[in-house]
Amino acid sequence: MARNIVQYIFYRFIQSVLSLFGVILIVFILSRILPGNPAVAILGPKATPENIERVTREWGLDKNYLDQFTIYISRLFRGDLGDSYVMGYSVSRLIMERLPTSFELVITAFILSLAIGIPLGILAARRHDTKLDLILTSLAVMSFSFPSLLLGVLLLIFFGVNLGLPVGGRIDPRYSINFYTGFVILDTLLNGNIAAFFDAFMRIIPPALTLAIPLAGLLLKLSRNSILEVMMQDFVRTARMKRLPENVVMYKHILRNALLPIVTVAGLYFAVLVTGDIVVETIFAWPGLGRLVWEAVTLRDYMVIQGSVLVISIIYIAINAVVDILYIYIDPRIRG
Amino acid sequence: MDKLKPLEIRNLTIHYMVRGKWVEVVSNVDLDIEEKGEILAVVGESGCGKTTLGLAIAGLLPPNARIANGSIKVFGKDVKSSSTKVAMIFQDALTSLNPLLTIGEQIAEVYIHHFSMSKREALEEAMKRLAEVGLPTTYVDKYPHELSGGQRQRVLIAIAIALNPELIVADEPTTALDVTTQAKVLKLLRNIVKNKGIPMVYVTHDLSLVAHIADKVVVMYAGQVVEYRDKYSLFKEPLHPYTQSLLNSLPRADLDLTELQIIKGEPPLPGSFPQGCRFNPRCSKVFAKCLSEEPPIKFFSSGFVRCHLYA
Amino acid sequence: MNMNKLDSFKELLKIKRVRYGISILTFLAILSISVIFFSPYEYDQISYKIHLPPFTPSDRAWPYIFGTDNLGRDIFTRTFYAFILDVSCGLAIIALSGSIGLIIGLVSGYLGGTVDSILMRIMDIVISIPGFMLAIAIAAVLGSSIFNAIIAVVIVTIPIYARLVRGIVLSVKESLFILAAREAGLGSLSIIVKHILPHVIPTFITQATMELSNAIIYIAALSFIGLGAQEPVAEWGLMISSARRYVREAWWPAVFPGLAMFLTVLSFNLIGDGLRDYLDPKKRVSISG
Repeated sequence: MARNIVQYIFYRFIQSVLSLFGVILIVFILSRILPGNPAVAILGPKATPENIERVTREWGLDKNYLDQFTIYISRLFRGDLGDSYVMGYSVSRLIMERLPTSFELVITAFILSLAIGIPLGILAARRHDTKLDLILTSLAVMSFSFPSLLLGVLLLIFFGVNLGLPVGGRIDPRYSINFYTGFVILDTLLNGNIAAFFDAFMRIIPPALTLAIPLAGLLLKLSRNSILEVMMQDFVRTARMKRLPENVVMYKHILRNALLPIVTVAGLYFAVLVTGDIVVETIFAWPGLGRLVWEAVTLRDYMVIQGSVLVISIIYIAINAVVDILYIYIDPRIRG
Repeated sequence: MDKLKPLEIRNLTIHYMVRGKWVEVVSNVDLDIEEKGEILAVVGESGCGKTTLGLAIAGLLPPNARIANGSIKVFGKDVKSSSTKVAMIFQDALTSLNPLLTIGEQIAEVYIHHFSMSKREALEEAMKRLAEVGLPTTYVDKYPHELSGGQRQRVLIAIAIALNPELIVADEPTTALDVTTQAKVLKLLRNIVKNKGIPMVYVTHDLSLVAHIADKVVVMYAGQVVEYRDKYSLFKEPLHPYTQSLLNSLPRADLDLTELQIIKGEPPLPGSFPQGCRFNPRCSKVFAKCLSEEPPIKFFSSGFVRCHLYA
Repeated sequence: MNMNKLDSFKELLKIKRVRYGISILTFLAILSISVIFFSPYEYDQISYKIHLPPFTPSDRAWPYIFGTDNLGRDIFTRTFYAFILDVSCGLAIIALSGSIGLIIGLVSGYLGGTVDSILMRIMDIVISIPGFMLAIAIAAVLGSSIFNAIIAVVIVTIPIYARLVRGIVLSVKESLFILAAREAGLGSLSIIVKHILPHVIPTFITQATMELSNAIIYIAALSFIGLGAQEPVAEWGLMISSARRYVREAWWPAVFPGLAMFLTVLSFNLIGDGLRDYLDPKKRVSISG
């Protein structure tokens, strides 16, 4: 039995490594498809002859493709994603600086979506085929169709203009905070600056909501359907036969089984969040990785775009693999 | 003072909602269990209403079913009130157990919620129940999918007795098992209810099983009770033509028969019961009255029968 | 054969969702066509009448129904020009990636073996990169234009169709071997077209309809961050991007394109959802849903 799990983990790991390699390869191929001298594309407006020469040496652009690829991969392994001549820093540094900011937003959004989507899904399942269920399900379908472009703008207007709350950016620059964790919400608390905390809090809600709402709609539908399916199973009848209290039946028996399949599509959620994140960060001027991508596009900074794609893809592959492996521990049927 | 009967069913009628209409599935059933520790078998073909009857006694009718008429009382208490304790053992043990919880947890639940025990105490009790049904106590940590069919069925039995029920309803618990396992589980069940003095309603389609386990037998056809006798009388001298055909259709190794005797035709579906006696299309002893009038119940010392032949 | 198709179409229309979706789309399409033929404004006509609120009267036939944007252009006209553009792009995308994905899926599923392994490996790798990121990477490499954005989205979405089709082919292949043996004379192509394709088409069409909304969102998002349509083209994402900065002074240049996009995407989703229920016999119970 143990051998099975180890085997699976190993296999899954190999799969991830292969996907990773594929991503690295694709990004490399893309960067060399550029007609003309890649160095010129990398440098953009800073394409002086000296710079071109330097970049050519750095990346081995005068050598054959295999050598180029080797240089590229070995730099990658050292965590070196190249330098952004346009923005003036190394790409890794730019990305690492922005990563916690995006992370804070995405995590907040994810928690919000769970808090909204799943309880409403339970409600819809409990009252299935009633008007409430119909309303909830329709709302869920609509929220999933609501493009972040529109939703973000509407929330920006609503919170910023109608409610007059501060929006955009992460925190009023007038506050000076020591960043211990890199998570502004926590840091303001750690600094003991309550006013700053509220400011940061109000600024994170609109973008987090924008990201959370489509996901919440998806979770609502998924959990509702899963619960309804499980409700019809025989072991629920056995639990009723035992005259267990209704909430025990619901939470211990129904939900545990119903929410299990929802965990498996966590990778799907991440994809949804990533797709929305770039747009949302741009709308709300949230200084994270997504906005970095937008800045890079505006400045034609290909090194940063390439680096961001790599980093985000690596995280995506890793999350999918971790979820798959965790699932083994949650579902005893697979273990045996 | 009248001793309270373990089970008293009077004039019970149950409807199911099918395609927007209520359809009668169980009609005017009267049934008693007189003594504790008595095993009453309910026999009939698929669709005769026996499973519905069992679910109703256990208080587990699905939302699309309703008791349209009549009453079910366990030791004088109506089953609709929550004061009765009726346990049920289901047919498919694999789907009837929660795949994500251990066997021990699923038995211990009963003790935690009904007997206010701590988790540790409850698990200890669970282990005792496992021993009672003939399973190793180490199985407390196992999951349902790790057990065999017969073992899972024993777990269901353990859960049932953990409830300390006033009555047990068993719905074809051995149907999915092979013959040897069937015999073992049957024997276990019989011993438990006899030793603990728990009355049991045993629902089955298999008349040969009935011979092994029952004290009294109820034969159902098309939602009605057509015969109610003690076991010996039923097998020795079946009264109702349906019972007779059922017995005739049992494979017999001792007689020199070349063909299996089957009953012609199919049982009627709820909603399309025939006029008069519901068995009349398939009865070998049918006569005019059977087609127009519903047969009355005739009582004997060994039970009763619903048939015009005895009116 | 024709009668059958007409009847099935009528059955499909009975589903509420499908009716709503088609009505909304028709309404938007009619508005768009009216705008193209009758609008007194050009979509790229800059003027000094900046940020006029909705329904501001003008000296032309129509008032500025949705107001004007930061360059004085009529938003109503631009929104519906964008409808034509975005929906056409969406259709182009699903047509291209759908056909390529279909072919890959058919070939891969039917031939099996090494070809299948290699093709599916490639598809798996493409899918393991979040779609939007890959689209950005490709569009950035190719250059910022709608055409390149379309190519990027096509590449990203091909694997979806390929895997879907391959799955269906595999499940049908088993039962078809008998048929294939009987028709030993027929070449593989005929077998695929005549016997496998009919099983593939229904699910394929449903998926394509859902993907249409995704395609439109992709194009708008890519344009929004600067990788797709460029000024002065009227495209929803681009319009919202230009309008974002001024949202405190004028909300209408950002909101109306977004609403139009929402309604369009919603309609296609409703139709696709209805289609899916229609084609799944188990779910057919509540046709009025």
